[in-house]
Amino acid sequence: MRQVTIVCLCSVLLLAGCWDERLYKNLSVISVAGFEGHMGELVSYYVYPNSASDPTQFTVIETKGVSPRDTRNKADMKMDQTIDLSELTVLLIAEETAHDDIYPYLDVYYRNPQNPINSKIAITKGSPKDFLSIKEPLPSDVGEFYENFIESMERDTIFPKDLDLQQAGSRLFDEGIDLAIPYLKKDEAHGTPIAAGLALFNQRKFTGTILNTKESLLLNLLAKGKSDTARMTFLYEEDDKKTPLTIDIIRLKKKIKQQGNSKRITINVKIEVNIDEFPSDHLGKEKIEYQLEKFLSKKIQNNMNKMIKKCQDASSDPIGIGRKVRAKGSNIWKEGKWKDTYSTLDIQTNVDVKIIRSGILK
Amino acid sequence: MLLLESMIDKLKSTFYNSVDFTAKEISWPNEEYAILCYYSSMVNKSDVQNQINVLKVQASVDEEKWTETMAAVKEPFQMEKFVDYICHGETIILLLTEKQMVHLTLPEIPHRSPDEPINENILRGSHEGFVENVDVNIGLIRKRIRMPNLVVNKMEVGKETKTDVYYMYLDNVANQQSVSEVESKLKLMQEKTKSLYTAGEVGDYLEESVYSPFPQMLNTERPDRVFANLVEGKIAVFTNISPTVLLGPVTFFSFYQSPDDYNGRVLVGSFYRMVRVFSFLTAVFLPAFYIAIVSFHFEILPIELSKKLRLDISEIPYRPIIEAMILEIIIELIREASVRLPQAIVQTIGIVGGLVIGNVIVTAGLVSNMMVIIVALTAISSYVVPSVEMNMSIRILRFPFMLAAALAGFFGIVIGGFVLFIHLLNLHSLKSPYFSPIVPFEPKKIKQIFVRGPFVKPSPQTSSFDPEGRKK
Repeated sequence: MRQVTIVCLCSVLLLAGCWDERLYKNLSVISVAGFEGHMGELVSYYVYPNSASDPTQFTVIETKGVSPRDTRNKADMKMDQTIDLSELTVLLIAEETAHDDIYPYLDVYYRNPQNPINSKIAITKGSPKDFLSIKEPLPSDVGEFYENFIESMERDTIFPKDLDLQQAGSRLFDEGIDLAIPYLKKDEAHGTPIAAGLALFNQRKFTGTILNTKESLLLNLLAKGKSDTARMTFLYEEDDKKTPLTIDIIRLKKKIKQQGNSKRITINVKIEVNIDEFPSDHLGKEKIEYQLEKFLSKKIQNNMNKMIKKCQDASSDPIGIGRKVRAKGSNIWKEGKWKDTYSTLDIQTNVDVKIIRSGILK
Repeated sequence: MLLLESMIDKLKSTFYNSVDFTAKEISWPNEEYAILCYYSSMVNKSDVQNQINVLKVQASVDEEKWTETMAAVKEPFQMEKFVDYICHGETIILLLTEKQMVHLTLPEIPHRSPDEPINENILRGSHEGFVENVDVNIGLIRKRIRMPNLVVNKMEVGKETKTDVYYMYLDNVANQQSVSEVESKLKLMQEKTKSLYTAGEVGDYLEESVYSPFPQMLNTERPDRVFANLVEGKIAVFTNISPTVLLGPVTFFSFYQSPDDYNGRVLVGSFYRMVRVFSFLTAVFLPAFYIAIVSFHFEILPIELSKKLRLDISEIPYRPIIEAMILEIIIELIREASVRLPQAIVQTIGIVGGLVIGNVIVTAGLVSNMMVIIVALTAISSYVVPSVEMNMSIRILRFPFMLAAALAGFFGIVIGGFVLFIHLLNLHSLKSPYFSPIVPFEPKKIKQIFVRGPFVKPSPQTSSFDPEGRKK
């Protein structure tokens, strides 16, 4: 009995072969990576800190290969230590590559258990190389920089909250909802990235349509609700006098309605806002408050309708109207191809803005 | 008279002519021949002299029970008993014609004053400690429990040393099964041991599994701790050679309780009790956890921390387990050295060992900064335990865990954790379960592991809306 126990214990301890040691000090941890090109002639970039004491100094390793895994193997050959992607924070994909089906490029990230699936993704205008080799001194390591960059946008409701490889993975295969991935441009003067909005996807392909940051904010409000803050600025015209008007959304309720097999979809949105900026003041007067609410409702409603039209034209459904329709078991989901139907839907929003706060003093 | 001298010589040779053995003739009333015998190193001479004077007076007036006083007993002479009494520090007056001996129990055996034990300091409460004299020790307990049901029993252990082992319990509070368990184990000890050196030897006999890393008897030198445990129904085992008292049956969590908990206030006591339970986790698992991270699962580190850690460990020439072992051994060396050294030099060792080695070893590139932090934290948390025995056990326990972590990462720690808990669940202390409120599961008592409850339940305050207190 004793021998059996010993044999069992030893086999559990020693034969569990997947538990090979990975010494941290023998690996080179890559925090940000990017790729461009197409399958067969893919170019990958890995950022590698070249000074141990100062991680803000780094080199970009550029390798050409057939597939993402192949380029990584080739990158290994250029380095003294093994490349490890388990702390990857951001993955940058070139715009032209995203026009292909992007799943094959991401496959390796889903398959290998040591690759993190909580890293962020972003589409870059132009080659990711330009985004990785930034000349300006950065406050921190590039990986950290991009992660903080995207997360701060997420807090402002401009980028979708918590969109990472894992969430993208399920959306790539969901017919009812599409991806909208952060889109980065480059500031020509400084070489630093700028958040340019969201790149709309149709299933697994980039549609080429990009929502600007204002539209992105509206889209995120409709898709996921507000994050920490959601601010909008308008120019309010009153007796030929123009006044800036900034609102901060406090609460938002939306309801997507669709009846029977009708192709008309109404989205009722109720917004409670705080006035952040309004120099001409007199918000205490009911008349002015009423006028402002009316103005805001109309303005936001128009912008939302425009934004939705833009999505429909690109036949991308990042709000998830498809999911809603599918859940209702409506015939318009079953008949024909959903994406074709989606583009022809009549989607209208009803926005009702209510001012509930107007700053601390007034 | 010749007979008397030959008698004295014979007595002296019974005690191998030791110089501190005294046998001499004394004058006695009623024309009696008397010999006074004692070990001069063990008796209180002035007390004995006073007692002899009293006895002489009483014998001369020829009272019937002239020998009966507080300290004296008369009985027929028997050589074996005579030797035994002398060895216990008694004084004997041999009455030759009557063939009787009068023994006076007035020993003077040196002992310390009951100072606070230096290895079990507390902040508030009683600062008494046990000494190497069992009468004083029992007195310290009797002072606290003034009840006749505090039973003290004696057993003589060790054929050559004849050491007294006492066990004490509160009758009708202590579990009878545990009492008989102690009795049977001490009997076994009586048969087997030749000489008893320490209280630890008694502990070995009382424990059920000697090879377990966990102590199954609680060692203490504090009367207040023994007192509290006696009241809870535990059994205390004293020896007359050591101030250490063994308490049992105990549970694992008894080792994490201190008299301080009850001397302080409820919230404070509860907080520090929780800190102590937490310290068990850090003391056993922290180095293993760190080793597992740097050799297997570094992806769980946040990137900000990971960068600095990476910088730190990339210069270390060997793997983390060896790095950890080096530091652990250094710490153990410093600990052991500071225990042996006189108080004045301990300070120096602390500075040389802690500051100088700790600082320079990192710059020399032998170990990383992070490892120093981890090992120091572990050492500190292992000293939080209020029991010296448990502290040692925990210090030893972390080595197998470090090894398991180096072999298989978190998986290894989990396997090790399983083995540890299975062992804890199987362990018994004097036939009662060691891991008690958890297995067997007693939800009401589990609270006491983390919280020290109040002695008094506060009565509800009168509500201002319902002054007569109808709603309750």
